[in-house]
Amino acid sequence: MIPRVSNNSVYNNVLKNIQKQLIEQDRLFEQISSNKKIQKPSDNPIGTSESMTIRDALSRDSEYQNTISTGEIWTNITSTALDSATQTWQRVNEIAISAADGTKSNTDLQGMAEELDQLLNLFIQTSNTDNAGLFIFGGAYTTEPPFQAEINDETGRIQQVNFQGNSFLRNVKTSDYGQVPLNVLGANAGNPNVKGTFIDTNAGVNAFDTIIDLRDRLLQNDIIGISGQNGILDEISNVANSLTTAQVQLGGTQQVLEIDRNRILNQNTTLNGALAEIEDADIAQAILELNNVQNVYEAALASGGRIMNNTLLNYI
Amino acid sequence: MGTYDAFNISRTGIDAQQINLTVTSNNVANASNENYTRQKAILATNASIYDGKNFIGQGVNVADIIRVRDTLLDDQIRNALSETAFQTTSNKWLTSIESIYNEPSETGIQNALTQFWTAWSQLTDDPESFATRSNIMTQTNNLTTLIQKINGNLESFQEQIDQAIIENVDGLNSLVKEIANLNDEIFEIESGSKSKANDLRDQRDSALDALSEIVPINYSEDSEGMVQVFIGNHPLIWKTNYELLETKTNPLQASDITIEWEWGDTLENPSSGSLGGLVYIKDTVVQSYIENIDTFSSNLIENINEIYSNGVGSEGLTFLTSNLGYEALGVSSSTQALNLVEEGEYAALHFSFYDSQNEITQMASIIVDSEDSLSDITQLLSSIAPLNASLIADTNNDDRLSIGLQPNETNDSSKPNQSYTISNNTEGYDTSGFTSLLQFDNPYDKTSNIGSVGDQYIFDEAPTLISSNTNNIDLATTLGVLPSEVTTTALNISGTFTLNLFESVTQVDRTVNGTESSEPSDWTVTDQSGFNIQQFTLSIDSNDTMESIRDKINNLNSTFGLSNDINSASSERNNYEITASINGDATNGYTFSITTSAVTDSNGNLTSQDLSETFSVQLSFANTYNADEDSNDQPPTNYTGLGDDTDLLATMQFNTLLEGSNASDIQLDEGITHASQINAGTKLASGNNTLALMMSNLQFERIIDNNQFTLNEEYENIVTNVGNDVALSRKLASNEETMLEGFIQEKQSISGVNLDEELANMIQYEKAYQANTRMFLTLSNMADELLNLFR
Repeated sequence: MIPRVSNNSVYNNVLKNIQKQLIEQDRLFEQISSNKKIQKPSDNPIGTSESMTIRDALSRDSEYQNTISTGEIWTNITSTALDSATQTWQRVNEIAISAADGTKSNTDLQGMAEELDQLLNLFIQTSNTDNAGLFIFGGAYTTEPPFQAEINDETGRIQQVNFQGNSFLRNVKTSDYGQVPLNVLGANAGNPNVKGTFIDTNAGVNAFDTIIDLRDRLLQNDIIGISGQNGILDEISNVANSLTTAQVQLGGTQQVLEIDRNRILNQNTTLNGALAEIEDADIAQAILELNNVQNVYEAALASGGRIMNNTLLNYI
Repeated sequence: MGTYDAFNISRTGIDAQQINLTVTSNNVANASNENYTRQKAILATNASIYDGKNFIGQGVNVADIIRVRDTLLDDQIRNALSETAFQTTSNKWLTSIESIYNEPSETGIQNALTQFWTAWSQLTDDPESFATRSNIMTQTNNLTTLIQKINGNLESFQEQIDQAIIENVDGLNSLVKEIANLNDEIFEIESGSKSKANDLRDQRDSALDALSEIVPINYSEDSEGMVQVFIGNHPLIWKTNYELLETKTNPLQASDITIEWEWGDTLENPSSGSLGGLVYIKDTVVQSYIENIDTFSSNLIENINEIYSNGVGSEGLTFLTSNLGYEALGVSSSTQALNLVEEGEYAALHFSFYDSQNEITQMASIIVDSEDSLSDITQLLSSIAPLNASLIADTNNDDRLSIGLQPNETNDSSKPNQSYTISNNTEGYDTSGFTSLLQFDNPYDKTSNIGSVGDQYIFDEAPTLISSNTNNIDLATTLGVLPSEVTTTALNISGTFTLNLFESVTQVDRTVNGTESSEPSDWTVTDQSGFNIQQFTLSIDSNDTMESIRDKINNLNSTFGLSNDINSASSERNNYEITASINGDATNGYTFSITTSAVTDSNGNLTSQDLSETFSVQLSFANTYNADEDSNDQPPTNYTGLGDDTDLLATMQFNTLLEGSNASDIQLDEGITHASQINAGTKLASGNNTLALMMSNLQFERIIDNNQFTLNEEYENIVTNVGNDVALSRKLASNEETMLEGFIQEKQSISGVNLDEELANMIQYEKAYQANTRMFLTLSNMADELLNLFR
């Protein structure tokens, strides 16, 4: 038996198929005009979740880049300060060695002591270096100069330098699971687990005391105290070592920042690529599909129009 | 058999063709009526007449006009209608609901969450800046506002769905009345007549279709031509009677609607139909979305606060009250044990006090065990002299915890306490090396005990911590000074060390058979409960000498003490005398000793003799705890560096970032009104970013669902879940529609009108009519011929 076809179902079929092509055209148009494959989570639930993860990672990376930039300023300033401290220290060393040979007159020694006072001031200035108002050697106490000179009322000379910061390491995040200390500590503030650059109670280093001690001995013409065993020359080389160690430690931080910067650059390219893969419409593909759909649409319209136009009525 | 019989036969033919044409024209007229069933006249031959020799046919009659319809197909279509309505209704609502999440985009919660973490990362970079602190407030507000908005949207969807349910029930009721009415009319017409009420039946069938779009129905037609309809097993329509449905709203709660039968029963949730779809979306789907976002919110609140409450803003605290009362801790009264730690374990709550220069003036901790209740803890907090803790009850919350700074009590009048922080400023119990430098080898002097009962030593004088003799340890050489100078020379140590203060309730009965015994082995210790500890921490810098440390300890005397009676709610406290002294001389060497008022009686009076009922106070270095060597009770040994190891404060929302408990009320703590109150560090120092770093690390911690997901992933799962639901529902709706279309196609091929067919029929009937009239003409001619015979 030949199945019957009612006029209603013919109309419905024609309409439904035309509608289908229209919806498809609309979908493709939206893809092309927004350049996005995923408009709503239901367009691709897994893709949505992946794209959210990647967007998250990208925005973290951009924050890490900011951190690295600020960090580089911070470490560069620290590095310059350490260089300048090292230079000052070389001069202190020269003076000590030159004084220790025992050939200098009292006046010479007096002059050296005067220069040491200036070097001491310079050294205090360096140890109070700041980055846009934040004192970099003070640990967590960044708003006040960490090293305060105490002046002897009688002599008018600096007799002691006190540390008013603490041993706080200012860690920042430059990767998801890593952190790096930006600062180098001016002093360890008694903390046995960290290293102080200018003052370290563990290693017995105190650069300020060393200069003051050297100056006072020069003033007192005490050459033995400078050159003798466990004398000031040893202390001077301890401080020099401490400055070098700080530079090395800082170099480590700078290297971490550099590595993370490169990693983020590479990762950004990969992530952006992956995000485009998931989210972005393939325009060429979509246009091709649109052409195809349009052809089908036109064909449906043409044939539908014909089918619906004709009945037996036309021929009786 | 006469000539005129043939006239009659032709007449039946003409009549029949006329009826055929009428039916055809009715079909053509209804060609576009979706609910119309093609009709067909059934022709039957009239009974023949026997003329004695032959049976002569007597023409045709119309036996019936029937609807061409397959009732089995009707069943299938109505099932499919119910299923399709369920899926398309679900899909329609889900699609609208999906759009409120606004993901993936730059304006959704995901982005707000990322911005929130980024703000913490920026604060880590720049803790000194007010702008970064203030950004935390902005981003927190942004995040919580979005969460509240989505929650509000979900709830308003539930209300909209309620409205749709009411409309669906109204529609169902009017269909029910219509069908019952049609039952009546069909019965009226068909009773006593052979033919069917075709058009009324068409109406009833379409009403049944409409009904099955709302709820799934069971139905059957009885012998009188009336349909009976059931929802499940519950009769909806029988003959001309019916029971309607009603919606009942709960006046106490928005979006809480129930559907009931007019005469009392509750309607079981329909498994399909648009009503089923609405109920399913509202009660199952949207409800689960609300629960998901609620869980997400409470996870945010808990985990963020747990870290944040250990921090400090750019200024310390002076007075603060928790947002919540004891109920937040899961207990029904302030005196119920909180079980903050496992039995036999301890956790500490650390406080530091600062002067106006943000320098630490003193540090103290309380130790909490599993049996402590909220009022016990309040009591312990008040035992720290500079603090005044109390429980505040108001109409909204019971017993909120309030901790304020006591302005009057200071240990050094030149540096009054300005603020306190909940922070642990020690790196460990003895980072200074004080106890090892002076070699407190046997720091707990047990020689003064007068015996022991079980594990418990009984003392009748103050337990004392005594150092080694400075001559024995050659301290003078170590320091490079003369033996006479050891007590005044800087020890060149710095850091902290911590002293423990115990208060144990020990009831000792020394009487044996009515007389007092001096043999400790005869005594009975009947009560050892109420063991509580307070710790205080001394800060030592490199300039401190033995004498200055002694003075620092002696300065503590007026400032630390436990309550008179730890079991009572009294806030009075007994300031124990903790005394340090240096004994000896340059020749014989010096010893450093720390001692405390040994024993107090139950009235808090000092006594060194009467031990019959005692609160005994004991003292030790926290790192060399050995007062009760064999006891299971041990003070906490792992310092996390955080102020509150117990999480008590975070749970009660004291010093927290977020307040509220779920998606509807999550918000920035109302107490935070200024950027300076945003915690960035764990200690009061401008560059301390420890807390900000911990907060920005929180985003990577897998803390959700048995440590499977991070907070970000939890939200991603919520969105993916919605996306999956919508995608699945779209697929199901499209499947059901395709199936329904198949059935309808089939129905149309049976019951639908085909114009070509009708036109062909029309011509056929017309021709038959013409033939019959021609027959009439022929017969008429024949009759004329006959009549002419008589002319």
